Amino acid sequence: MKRIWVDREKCVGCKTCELRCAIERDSVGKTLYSAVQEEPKPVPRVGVFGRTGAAFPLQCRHCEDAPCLAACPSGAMQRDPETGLIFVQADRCRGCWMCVMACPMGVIIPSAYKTAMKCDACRHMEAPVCVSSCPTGALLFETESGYQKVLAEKRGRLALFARGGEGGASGVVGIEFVREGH
Amino acid sequence: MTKYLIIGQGAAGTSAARTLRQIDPLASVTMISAESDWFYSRVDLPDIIAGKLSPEDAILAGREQFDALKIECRIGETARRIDPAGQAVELSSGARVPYDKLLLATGSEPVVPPMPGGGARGVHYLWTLADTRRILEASRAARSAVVVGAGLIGLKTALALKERGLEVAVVEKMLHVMPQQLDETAAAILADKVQGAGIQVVTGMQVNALETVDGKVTGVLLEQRRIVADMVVIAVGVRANVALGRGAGLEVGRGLVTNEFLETSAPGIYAAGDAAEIRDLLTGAPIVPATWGVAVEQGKVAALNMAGKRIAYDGAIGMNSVDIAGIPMISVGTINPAADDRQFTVQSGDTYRKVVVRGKQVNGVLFLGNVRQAGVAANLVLRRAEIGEIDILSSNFSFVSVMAQ
Repeated sequence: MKRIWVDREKCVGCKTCELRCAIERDSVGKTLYSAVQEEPKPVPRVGVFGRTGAAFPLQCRHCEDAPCLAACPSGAMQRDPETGLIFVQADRCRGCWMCVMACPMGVIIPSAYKTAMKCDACRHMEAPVCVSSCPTGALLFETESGYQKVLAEKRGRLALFARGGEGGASGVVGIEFVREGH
Repeated sequence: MTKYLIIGQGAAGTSAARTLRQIDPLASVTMISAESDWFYSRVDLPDIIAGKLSPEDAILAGREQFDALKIECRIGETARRIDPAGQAVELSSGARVPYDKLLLATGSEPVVPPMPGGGARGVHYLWTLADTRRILEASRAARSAVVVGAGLIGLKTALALKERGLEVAVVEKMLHVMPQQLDETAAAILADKVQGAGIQVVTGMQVNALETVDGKVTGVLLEQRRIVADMVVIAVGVRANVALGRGAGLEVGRGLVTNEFLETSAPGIYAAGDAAEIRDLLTGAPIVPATWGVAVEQGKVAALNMAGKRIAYDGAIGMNSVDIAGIPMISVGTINPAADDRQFTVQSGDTYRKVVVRGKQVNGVLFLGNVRQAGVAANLVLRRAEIGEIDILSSNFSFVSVMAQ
């Protein structure tokens, strides 16, 4: 299962991912020109937080034991059985914000239409738009082992990671992994 | 083959049934539900009254889904008595259902305040899908309604009835709306919106009696005041539905008392969801959190323990989330500070944020108007995190602020 990974050292905090996500996934016109004129303003599902020099692009980690799934009382929050990605079926969402309250990472966004909005890793597209638009390559769409290889390459040697098998890691690990990884 | 029996088909019961099926494909899993509707979403009920959804929209899983999991459901049958010695539950039909492990997920029931006229026609409680249908039906013939209690359900119901075109008033005996979840400042912002929607909000006033004519409600009587109503909805809170457990001699506090494995005082009988009394994660005090996510989690943990895995349940804290009159709000932990607590607030128009700090720990947070990032703050409360340099009130507050600590 592919996940979005972050190479923290490469993030310069430019917010290109935010911009492209908002245009591609929340605007009607799908171009920057039209997006900036739309009302309500298109909102990104990824957020770049932290000070300049310590910026971090944060989006849903698709946790294995996802608190948002348990919290949703309307059946809107679902997990794709094939990819493991968690997504919102908007027509079932009642805007109660239980998922927003449950998410420890704050990556579920209350939309202007009173539905919960979150990263679904652009599951209908070939690759997430944040990943394909990142100018520094700080975002990667890879399996866990694929990402380990990227890190290993980066180090110029094979690295040993005390990690479980693929899919055995919760989403939060994605971030801790980055901490350990570089 | 182990026989699992679950009483109640709400969030906790269904979560337990699914978990049991997952861990034991061969076990017999039976659910008994006194309600005649299949597993439904409670959050939809006000929207059904408002006419935005139909009762069918609220169904989360019906016969087909339960059949697919080979979960036997006896819908519309009331469990009358537990025979703990004989390991069986007696139904009102007289049938006896045997069990090896029993889960009481009987939920909660609305509090019925003693008041003259309380039993009159036209007096309703909004708790079940069946209640919703009755209120919907009554609202078609009514021109005015009074909702008693300005909690989450009361306000939602009032707004729904207003959307149907009724004259609506809400009466709350506490000094402000949603006293459990909000402080005075937040409540004022919300009350303003509710009034803006055309609802009369009366706070700090007790309903002394319901006025009736020929056994039908015609209004509510307050201190020196009368409000006309063709129908009354009473929403002064809910309490754990413990009758079945109490009848079997189970220990009862605010709900069915459970140990860390969600087992009641009777071995082999477990409780989960709104019916179960658990421990407050922060104080250790007995509480009944009564929220959907907590019920799902407890159902899962109870099921794991019923299946013989020893999984301790940590407890929970009081928290709630709702959107009323266009205002989203999330309230977690203690939001009304005790004597030695420090509180920090920031307000800008209809957006309000509050943090209550006890010692070095975040003990409660309230987000109103803009709830983005409320989950990050809620998690700090749950983890008893030391607040350190984290500024929850800052507009830049995010998970990255927590990571940076």
